[in-house]
Amino acid sequence: MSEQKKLTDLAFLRNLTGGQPDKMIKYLRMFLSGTPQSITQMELHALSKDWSAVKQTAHSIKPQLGYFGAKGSEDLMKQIEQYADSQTDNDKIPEMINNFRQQYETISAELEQELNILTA
Amino acid sequence: MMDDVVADPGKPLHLLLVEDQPFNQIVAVDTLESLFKEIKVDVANNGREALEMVIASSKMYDLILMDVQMPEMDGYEATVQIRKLITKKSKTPIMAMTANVIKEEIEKCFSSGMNDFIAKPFEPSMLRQKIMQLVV
Repeated sequence: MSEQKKLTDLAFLRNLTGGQPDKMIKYLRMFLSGTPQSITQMELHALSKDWSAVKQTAHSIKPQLGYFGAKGSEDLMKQIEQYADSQTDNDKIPEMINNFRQQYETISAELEQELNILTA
Repeated sequence: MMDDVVADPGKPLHLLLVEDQPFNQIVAVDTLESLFKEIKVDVANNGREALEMVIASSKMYDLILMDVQMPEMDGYEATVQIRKLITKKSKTPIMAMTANVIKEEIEKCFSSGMNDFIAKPFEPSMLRQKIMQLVV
């Protein structure tokens, strides 16, 4: 995996935890175990056109992405949140969520790799 | 690396963290416990729980860290309700924790009665600095 193409950067997490592996491992595991369910929830909310719930879910995922330096995905989540709040751009949301799901595949692979290094 | 100086405000701190997301709750509590020498953090899952805990507490919290967007009762409304209390608890310092650092939201934080704000995800040193300004 090329360093330039990485979607995550653990510099913020290292600063937050003081580089303590146990805390980094805990946060990585929590994020990796909880986010897939949140994405599915967001997809279901979008299918039922519950834009308020889409906004709430995007809002909850967004700062977590920040902890793992996934800036591009954090911005995408912010955009989903804004569109879900608007009355005119809701039709763009399902594709944006799909884009995020694809990004998450890369993010989770990168973070699993970090987790493997930390737990080795 | 995180600045590893543990702050000592000269008294044990009792904080109320108001946050609906378990991940954010755990990160915030861990961070607070690493930043301060003596600290107790109570956790409320939304604004309504926070209001109930403020009313029910035997002593005034030293600080409330308030998420803004939450189900049931958001941080703005919870702050307005706390400021309406007739006891001295209405003066409890409240700091917003927001993932949306935009002018409108910051203005809304202050107009609802909050004293300060910090962006999520937060830098530990910034969190410590802002807390020290509000509790000392």
